[in-house]
Amino acid sequence: MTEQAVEQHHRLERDILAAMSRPTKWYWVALGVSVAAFLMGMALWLYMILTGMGVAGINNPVGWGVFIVDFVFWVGIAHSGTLISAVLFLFRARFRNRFNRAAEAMTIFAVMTAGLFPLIHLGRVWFAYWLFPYPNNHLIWPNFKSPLVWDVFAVSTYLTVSAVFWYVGLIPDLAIARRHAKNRIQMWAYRVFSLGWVGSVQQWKHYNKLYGLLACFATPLVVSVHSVVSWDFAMSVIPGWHTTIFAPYFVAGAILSGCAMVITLMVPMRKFFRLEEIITVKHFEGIAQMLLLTSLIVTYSYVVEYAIAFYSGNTYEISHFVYRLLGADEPGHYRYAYWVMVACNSVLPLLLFFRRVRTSIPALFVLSLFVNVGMWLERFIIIVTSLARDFDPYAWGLYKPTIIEVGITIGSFGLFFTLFLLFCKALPVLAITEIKEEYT
Amino acid sequence: MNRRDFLKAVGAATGGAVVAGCEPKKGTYKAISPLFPLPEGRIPGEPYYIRTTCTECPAACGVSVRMIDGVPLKLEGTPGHPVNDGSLCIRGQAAITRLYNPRRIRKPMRRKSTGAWEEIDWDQAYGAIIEAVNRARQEGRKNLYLSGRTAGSLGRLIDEFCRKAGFERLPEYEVFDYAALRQANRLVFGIGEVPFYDIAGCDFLLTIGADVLQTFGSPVSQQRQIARARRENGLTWVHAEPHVSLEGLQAQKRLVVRPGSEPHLLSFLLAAYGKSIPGAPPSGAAAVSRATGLDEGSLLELAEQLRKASRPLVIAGGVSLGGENGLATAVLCAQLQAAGGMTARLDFGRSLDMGRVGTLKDLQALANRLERGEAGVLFVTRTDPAGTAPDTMRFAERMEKASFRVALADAISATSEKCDLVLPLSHSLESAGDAVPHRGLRGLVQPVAEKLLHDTKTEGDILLDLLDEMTAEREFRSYAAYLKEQWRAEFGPGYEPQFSATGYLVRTAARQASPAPKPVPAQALKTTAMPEGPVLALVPSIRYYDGRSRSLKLLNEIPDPLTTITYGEWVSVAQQDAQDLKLQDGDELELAVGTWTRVLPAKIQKRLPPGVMMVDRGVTGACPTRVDPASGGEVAWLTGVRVRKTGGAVRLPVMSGSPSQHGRGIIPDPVHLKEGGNAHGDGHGKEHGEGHHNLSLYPEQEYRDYRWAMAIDLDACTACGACVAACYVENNVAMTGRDQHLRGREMSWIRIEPFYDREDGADFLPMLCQQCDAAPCEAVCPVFATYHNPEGLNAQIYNRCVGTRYCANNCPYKVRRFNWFDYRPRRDPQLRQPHGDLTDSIELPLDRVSNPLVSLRKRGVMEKCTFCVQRIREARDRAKDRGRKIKDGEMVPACAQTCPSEAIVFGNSLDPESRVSKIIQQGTHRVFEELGTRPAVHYVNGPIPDARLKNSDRGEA
Repeated sequence: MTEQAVEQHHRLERDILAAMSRPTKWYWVALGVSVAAFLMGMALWLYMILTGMGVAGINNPVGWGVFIVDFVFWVGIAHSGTLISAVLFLFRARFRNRFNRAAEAMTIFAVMTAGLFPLIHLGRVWFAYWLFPYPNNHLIWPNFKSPLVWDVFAVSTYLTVSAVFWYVGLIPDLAIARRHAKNRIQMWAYRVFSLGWVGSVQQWKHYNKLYGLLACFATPLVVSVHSVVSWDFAMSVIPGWHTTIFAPYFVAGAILSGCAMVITLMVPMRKFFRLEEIITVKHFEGIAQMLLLTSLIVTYSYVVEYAIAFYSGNTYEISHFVYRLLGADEPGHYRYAYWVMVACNSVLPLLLFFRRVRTSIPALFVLSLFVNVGMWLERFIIIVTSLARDFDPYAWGLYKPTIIEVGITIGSFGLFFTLFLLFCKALPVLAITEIKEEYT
Repeated sequence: MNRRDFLKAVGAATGGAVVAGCEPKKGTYKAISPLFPLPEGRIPGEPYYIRTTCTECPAACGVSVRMIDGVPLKLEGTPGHPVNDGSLCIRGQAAITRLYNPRRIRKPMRRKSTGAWEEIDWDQAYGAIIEAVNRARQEGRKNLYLSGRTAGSLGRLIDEFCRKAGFERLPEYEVFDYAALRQANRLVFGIGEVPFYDIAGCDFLLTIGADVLQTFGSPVSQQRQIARARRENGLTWVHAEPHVSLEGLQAQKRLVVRPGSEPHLLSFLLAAYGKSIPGAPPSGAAAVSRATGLDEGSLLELAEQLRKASRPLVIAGGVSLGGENGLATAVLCAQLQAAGGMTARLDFGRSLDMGRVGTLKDLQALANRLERGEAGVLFVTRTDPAGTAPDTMRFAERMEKASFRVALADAISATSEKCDLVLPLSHSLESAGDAVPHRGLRGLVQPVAEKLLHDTKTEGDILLDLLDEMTAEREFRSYAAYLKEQWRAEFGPGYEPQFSATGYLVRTAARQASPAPKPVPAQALKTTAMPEGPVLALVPSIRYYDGRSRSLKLLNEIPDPLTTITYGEWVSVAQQDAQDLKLQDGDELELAVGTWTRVLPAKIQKRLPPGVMMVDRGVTGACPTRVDPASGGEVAWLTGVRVRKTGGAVRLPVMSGSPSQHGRGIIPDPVHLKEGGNAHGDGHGKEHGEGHHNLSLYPEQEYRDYRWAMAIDLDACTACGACVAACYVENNVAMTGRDQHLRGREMSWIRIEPFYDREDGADFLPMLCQQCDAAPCEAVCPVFATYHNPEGLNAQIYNRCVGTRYCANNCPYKVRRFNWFDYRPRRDPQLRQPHGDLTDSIELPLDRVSNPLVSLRKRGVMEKCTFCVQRIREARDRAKDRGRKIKDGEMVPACAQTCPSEAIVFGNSLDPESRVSKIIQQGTHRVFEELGTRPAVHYVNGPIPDARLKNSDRGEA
């Protein structure tokens, strides 16, 4: 190892760990806002528990609304973390090293946030444990035919594996942080959690074996979680839900939204923690290319959805998809939602074909926000419009979210950002050891 | 004092106090048992039935009150009753909610000088009346007694009271007074009554404006007869009307005539029989076609049908007699009945007992007398003239000129609002009495409910008490005793067992032959042409009758059959008029007639002829009606209406998401099937049988003894909504209120879907849980809260439900209902609901309308139709006790039980001999069958074989 490289390593450690230094005023403001939003969300949920689900806008026939939209949205966000760290690790795509730590953190926090929504939307949340198979004197197990039970397993497995994978990747960095610890508490915490890591050859050998294994193990989960989530819809009989394309379509959508969220988070983080030298435009370009690819897949899915609906000749499917596209004549129907979604998810990302857009950080940031909105709308359209117009025209109806649902959604963002901000100050935001490897 | 003495003293004191407390106060007769002893050997907790009579409208159907341990739970038609034979209408089913109506008056109330009400004792109330009577006598004013329609023994007691207490009894006031019809029958046949129409014996029926399914005459009886005539005689039913009504949409053919042109149509039909009536409008086809707006072809066809029919019947009534030409229409109709040999089907021996019901003219006379200040004490009982009389009569204002006004009412109305004293009346389920459904038939009214909540009395008891106070002689201990005396005198000493067991007594009168028609004075045939411009019609309502049932929450909760609006008022506007005015549903219109104005939201009604606007009866406050000088009745067709769009709009609680089937073949009409109902799109019909539609990953359902199934005859179904009301009461279905309805959160387990796809008319489909064999709801529930029970029901286990709502999402029929809030009645809806009237929850004591055999659902759980599983259980237990299986027809769900048309057949489809199996074998239609759900509810387009069901053992063990 050259002297230059050693110097480089020291600078890396210093720069990355500088993010964990004493928080600035703006950090506290951001944290305060996030925590306040989260607490407000929780208070609204408590109010809903005490009063009834009716304070949300859901009704007959639209029994699932913003809560389930939020669930799918957050599960989707949770996708790119594991994709970036595990799949790209296996493919040896080196630009991932700049993103994997934050993306994995994002994954775990997004799954945690997502996991709240199935609880929030339950009519009787105090009996949520009935969805788990546990020995009980009623001798009743959950209904394994129900996709909702599959969901329980898919999401909890994903959370467990992602957390383990993240933690394993953290161990060498925790050891570095231990070295830089400023007080006894930090020292103690990093010592405990770095599990006595000394960086011996033996340890590295075991570590690399485990990390590779976990990457292999996590990869299928990237596909499975969102496939299972998509089956919540695809297994039903509702026109607009009941289609075989849903699993790949949802997975692509999840990666799209996940990549967008990574950009949304990394751009400000890079700026605030002055990591411009470590995370360069080149790295962002890699993510942008993934965004473009998944956007094209998602667009393809949109087209196929319509093609299949019309090819099937099924009255219900055709009239539903026409409705989705055009809405009804009366006001209040979801006429514009679809077009906004197409603009956000399919049209705007086409700009990424231009190198100038791909390499412009502000452009990428703005674009990522549009994709986030577009992906949320996509879930809204799938879930709400399908239910609003299914088989029996007498039972058609409209759904409008209430302030409670909006508040709880904001609260979920509050939770997510609270966790993310805490992560920024408590753990190394970039994978130091992996970046170091690039400079040997 | 030692311990023993102490205990003795305490025991004696307590016992004494209890005994002393048992003595009722004078005049507080408390009914806690029916009039006649019940058979012995009852098992506590087991339901039993008490016979009484419905008092919601003059039809007076026989009612069996389902009781458990002395608490009335539900009203059902009395099987074998000559009027309704086991069925009840929507209002009859809802009558029990009037008993617990939160708006009922609990105690006598006196108006204080400040204008506020104060609750007083009965003795104080009587004292005030006697004082007022004496004062009026000194002042030389006349004491007046105005009541609603009174039938049976009460009329005699009122007479007695008026005689002894120095009151003048006025002609009774009833909104639906049949003035034109009675007048016409008096002129033509010499009998001024509404006859019994023998529709069951017809093969051709022409109704002109008569709402025979809703309020006219005896609706349940007529509905049953129409259903029977359709099955047995192949009845052809043509309905002519100037607006749109349920009858028009249910008849095989609907003829829309111009308002007021009915005499022309009748004149034409009379000419077809070769009769020409002097003074009648011209009868030439061309002229009639011009006047009525019907084309000559359909006129000639109608005349042809009428002449060819072997047993035709023409009935004019309802809105057609409520216009300027009402009397002419009624007279010509009577002439046509005579000319067409239809008098054999008019039975005046069984005519509707209108007692001493006067006309609006009589009320006008009273208003004039009040104006002159002649009136002293004015009694107004069981009627609301101030709220229903024409506004030009200014009745409410004039009432105040009487020196003392007493209302006998169950709730505060526009009339009682103007009174000095309000005496609360007992509900008919708390009262002894009798009713007269038609001449020669006496219905028993007996108390079944203890008066726990209200200190009320029956009118009879009040009058007896007053007589007692005034004359200091008490002949009868109570009105019940008075009644028994009357009945004994009338029916002989041995009347009791039969009266008690059946709830009615028939006094066979010789069938009165209709006398020959007499010539009619020409002025009775005078017709005037309706002036141009929009007309506003006040129409009878199947839910609110003449407006009297508007305060019943349950009837507000159930949609209007035509528009599917639940709460509130609206004006129906023709599509073309709406286009001209650029109206959308919910836009507010200001309607003005003379001095009357009112702002109402508009609802576009596809089938309404242009220029006609429709408002349901019972628009609060006085009406823009006027007295018809010819018949003395009411003109409810108002011309000279000024219409203005206010620019405001409200949301109407319309329950239907779309008035069209969108070619989905929901209703088994060949037209719709052709339109592309075969939704899986590979161009084949049903010829391949079950085939690939039923491919399933899951094993077939296996049943051992029963597989419950239902068949619904859409030809017989009239969309009257009685089934919906019955279901609400039987299954403790929550009422959620207007606000929740606007959010799409009604709770009905069965609903009637109207679809306006045909060129004219509409199709109606009762939709309830289809109890599918391959139910989409069952597979998706994560906790087995919904599962397939061994008898084929998609059972819902409320206390296992966690509320994911996936089952409701996945139900193609959208028949599952979620408890968004705790909808159970509570005292203070504001208390637990920070959102104000978000739940708009029903108030106490409506919680007492509660079937103990059905669990109440809490917030956060899903619920749905169960095929009345509690009744299945009851029947199975009984069958098990007797060591047999449940017999066909032994058990029917509440909807099938009450259906006046017997359109719903329920049974075990595993039993090849059951009626439902036989119907299924004939081939039926199942909604969305192509989805592979395999529903157990089958729809057929008539006729159902062996339709008699009601007389079988219905489990009233």
